[in-house]
Parts: sequence; C-alpha cells; structure tokens
Amino acid sequence: MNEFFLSRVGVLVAIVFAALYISALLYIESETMVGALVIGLAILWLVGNRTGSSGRLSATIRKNTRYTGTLSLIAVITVAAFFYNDHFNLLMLTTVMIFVVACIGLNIQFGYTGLLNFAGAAFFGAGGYTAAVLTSNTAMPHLVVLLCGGIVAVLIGFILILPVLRTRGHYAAVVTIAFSLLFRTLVEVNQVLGGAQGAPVSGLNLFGWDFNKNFEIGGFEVSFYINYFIFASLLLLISIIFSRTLERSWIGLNLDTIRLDEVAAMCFGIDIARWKTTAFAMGNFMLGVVGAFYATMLGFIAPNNFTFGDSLIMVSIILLGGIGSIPGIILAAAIVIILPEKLQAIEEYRFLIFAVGVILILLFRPNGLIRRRMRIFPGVIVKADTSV
Amino acid sequence: MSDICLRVKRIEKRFGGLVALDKVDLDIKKDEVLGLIGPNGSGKTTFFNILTGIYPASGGSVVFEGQDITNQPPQVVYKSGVSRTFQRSRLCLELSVFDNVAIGDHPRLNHGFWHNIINRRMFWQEFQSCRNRVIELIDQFAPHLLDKMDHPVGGFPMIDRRRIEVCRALLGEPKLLLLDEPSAGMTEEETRQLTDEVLEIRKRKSNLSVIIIEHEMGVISKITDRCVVFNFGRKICEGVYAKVASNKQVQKAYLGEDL
Repeated sequence: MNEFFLSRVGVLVAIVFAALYISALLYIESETMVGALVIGLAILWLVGNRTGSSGRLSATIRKNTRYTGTLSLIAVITVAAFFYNDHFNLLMLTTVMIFVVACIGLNIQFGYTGLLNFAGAAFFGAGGYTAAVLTSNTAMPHLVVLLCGGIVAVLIGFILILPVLRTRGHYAAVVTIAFSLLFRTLVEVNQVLGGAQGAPVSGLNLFGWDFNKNFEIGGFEVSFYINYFIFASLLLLISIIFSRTLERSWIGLNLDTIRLDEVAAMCFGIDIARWKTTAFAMGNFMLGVVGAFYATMLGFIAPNNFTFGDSLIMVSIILLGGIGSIPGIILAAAIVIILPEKLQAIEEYRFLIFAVGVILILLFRPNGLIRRRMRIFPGVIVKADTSV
Repeated sequence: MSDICLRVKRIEKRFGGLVALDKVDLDIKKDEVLGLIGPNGSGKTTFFNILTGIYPASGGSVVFEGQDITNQPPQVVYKSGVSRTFQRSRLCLELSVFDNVAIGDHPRLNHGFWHNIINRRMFWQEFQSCRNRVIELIDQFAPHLLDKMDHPVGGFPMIDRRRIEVCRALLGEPKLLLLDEPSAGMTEEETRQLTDEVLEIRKRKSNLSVIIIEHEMGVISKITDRCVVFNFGRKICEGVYAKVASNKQVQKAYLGEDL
C-alpha cells in the first residue's frame, strides 16, 4: 500500500516538474538561460537512465494510466491558464500539439505498418487548402470543414496508393517524396489556390463561438489562442486514445505483422493491400484534419508552409522520439518545434541540427528517446502453477 | 477418392530458363505424414511455396479437399486449411509470443472498425476465446513458455521459435500442415525433442495430414508413413522410408555416381 502511494507521488512529482519545466522554458527570454535549461534536462535525462529511475517511472506510469492521464490533463490546463494572455506562447504550444497529432497519424503508417511517408506535409497542406477553399467560398459548418480536410487528404492519398502498394520499403518512400515535391509545385503554380502568395482562411467558428476573439473570464482578458489551444488538446486526446486502442486490437496486430514480415502475414490470411490502404488512409485523415485546423488558426496558408522540408521534420520527430512511441513523439515534437523558436541562434541551422540529431539517435539509440513499448494484451501470461 | 487430402497434378515451376519443378504428381491421404526429401535445390521448398500460393505455378493443378487451390493467393489457401512453418523461421521477433501465435487465428477474427475500436466489449469477449485457444496450444507444445507469453520472440532459442511457429500454424485448425525443415539449426538433442513433438501433434490432432521437409534421416524414418524424393525438380522415388533408402537412384542423387 505504501509503495502504491509512493509511486503515485512519484508520477505527480514528474508531471509537476514537466509542467514547471515547459512553462519556464517558454517564459524565459534569455537565450543563455534557455540553453542552460536544455542542458540541465539532458543531464537529468542521462542520470535518470543511468540510475534506472526513468525505467521505474515509466513502469509506474504504465500501471496507472488513468491517474497519469488525469494529472496530465490538469497540468495542460494549468500551463494554459498560466499563459492565458500570452499569444505567442499559446500559439507555440498549440503548434506543438498539432504536430503531435500529425505525427501520430504518420506513426500509424510508419511506426505500425512500416509505410514510410515523406509526404506528411503535403497531406497536412491538402487539409489546409481544403479549409481555405471551404471557409472562404461556402457557409459550411466549420466542424464539417475540418472533417472535409481529412477526407480530401484521404482521397488525394488514394492517388498514391497504387504505386505505394506495388513497391516496398524505400521504393514506396521514394514515391511519397516525389509526391511531396509535386504537391508543392502544384499549389505554387495553381492560381485558383492563391499561387505562391497563398490563400486566406477564416478563423474557426464552432456553434456560434468565434475562436478569433479575445474574451474575458472574471475580469481577466484571455487570449483567443486559448480557444485553439483547447480544441487542439481535444484533438490530441482523441488521437492518442484512437491510436492506443488501434494498437491494442486485431487491426494493430495485423499492421505490426505486415511491417515485420509480409510473407508470413500473407501466409496466415492477412490481406496486405487492404491493411496498407487502411493504415495509409487513417494516417492521412489525421494529417488532413489537423492541417485544416492549423490553417484556420494561422488564418493564412502558402505553399511554403508545406514543403518537403516540413515532411522531413515530421518524419524526424518520429525517428527522434522512437518509432511507434506516442510519448516519444510528444517529447520530440516539443524539442523540434520549441527549441528553434527559443534559441534564435540555432534557428538558421535547425535543419542541420535536426539532421545531426537524427543521425546520432539512429547510431546510438535506434529505438529513439522513449522507445515503443510493445503491446501486451491483458491476461496472456499464465503463471506456471495455475496452468495445470 | 474421399480419403485423398491433397492431389497435386503435373505441377510445374520455371524461373526463366531454370526448371525448379518438372511436372510433379503427388497425392496425400488423410491423416498421413509424408516425408519430402532430396538434395539441396531439388525443389522441395519451391513445392511448398507453390502449394501455399506464394509463387504462381507455371502449369499443373493443386486440389485440396476437393477444392481447386491452384494459383490462389496465400490468404485463400490458408483459409481453406493449409498452413505451414518456414525453413528460416518467420516470426515477428519484436512481437510477443502471444501476438505471434494469435496471428494464426486471423481468418476467424472480426477485423471491422466498429468491433475493434468502438465496441470494445465485444472485442474483449472475442479476445478471450482467442486467448484460450492460444494458451491451450502453448500448454500442449511449449508449456514452459506459458509464463513468458509477453516476452518478445527474438529472445528465445531456435527450438522455442520453431515450437511457436508450429503453434501458430496449428491455431487455425488446418487439415494439412507443411513443415519446412523443422530441425534446421538445431542440436541433436533438440532434434530428438522436436521429433517427439511432431509425433505428439499427430497423436493429438485427428484429421491432420503433414508434409515434412527434412534432411535428418533419423527424423524421417521415425515419423513418416511414406516418403517422396525430389531431385532436380523431379520426383524420382516414392514409398515407405526403408524402400526409398535402398533405392539406387536415391542413393545416387544423395551420394554421387561412384558409390
């Protein structure tokens, strides 16, 4: 009982620390202080790994998922409340969450099924352009617009599905690279979609609630980005629950088997084309929805937001965090998006630094910062004495 | 006719100019254990790959339980009741023992979205019955793995991986089991254990025919009812082990001209 209590306190301390850390990181302006914070975390990380305390912590978290989830939710709300009138930091936090959802979508393709998709930003952009067209030309409810963003991304994905199914591994990846470059060129030269100048998108308006208006709570003027922040947290919550449920289902088992051994998968009845298509569609849908949402938040989109470089960033978030690992994606997305903003010194070199980071990770820690825990279905372990 | 499980007629496979299988005829009776032997490169594994639909045949036909399965995709072949193990074990090394075996249940499980994502109560019910089947099989063939069902397969020695492969192949209750060189990469002692286990499968499962590819003649002599010898893609001999072993042509194929 005592141990149970202690472990829960441990989780609480860890989450409070994480919330304080992220708030401090965002709040502090001095670049040297930010650098010191980053180095401090790296040292803490190494110490945690050496002493095995991070292993114990993650074991406790896995045992108390609901408790951890509730606390994390409270922590997220607290951090948002702390930055209640800070446009810039709320925008950044929301952007992190949007990229996390996008990468969770990509992860269903890459992490589970083994489909390496280098056109993440293109599908993200497809959702964004759908939002631009629909919000400026129709009076469609915005919730439907977001869904349409996802559907359009899925439909565009189907153009790619034939070559993707006919090729394997790196060759399929090359197909998506080609598409990524193609997409950008297409939106750039196509005047209907605003060409290189881009297109305006109106802000989100759900059930009469205008997301782009500051509002007041108890005399405090609250930044309108809080709206986007809350909606993004909701999307994030849904996508995490979806992805984890998917993983712990027969579909998740099919996808993993296809990634690890296509021949064995075929020989036991798994329809490779069906599940690859499904995984591709699921990932693209998430990318499209969140891309549409991102566009409404920025109020404006241009081809430059959806370059091949952005697709690379998404893939490197997955590689850095740990292929297949959702906690890894969250951590890596935070690093990849927040750091260049806070450390202007590295902004120019961010692609270089990420590339080096990814190479180092692949060399020394191929499972990523937080490696994926493989699914363990409940009740499959039978104790030797009870089996007879 | 009705006691024939599998009837292969004039099956042919050419890879470009190379004839891997040259008009092979083969019948397997119900409940029979057939040994498939022959030197390296004589077409044994190709034969399995054609039966299970991994390669399309260049000619001929395969009829299984009265159903024509020639050139059907592997998924259809598996559903009709043919399952197999692989020469170089093909397990998903990152996945747990349970996950690897449970794949064998694929055709029986509901893979719909509603069932898997939304209606989780039904999913867990189905999961329980699948779990029970998996545990029953592991309990029969690898009871020492029961408390390690969550361990990734990659950490186990070859013999355990073979056992897991056999359990996976048996989970769908096949009528024909194809074992591709189960003793490959094993010690003498392990081979002996494995032989006993194959005999055990025979005893426990009724209505199951087995074709086993094997180089260990000890295994072949102990467990097979009948043997077929391949050489250069042709069937050169057929009969009980003792008869096959004394056949001049077979000796020549294995040991060379001079002896």
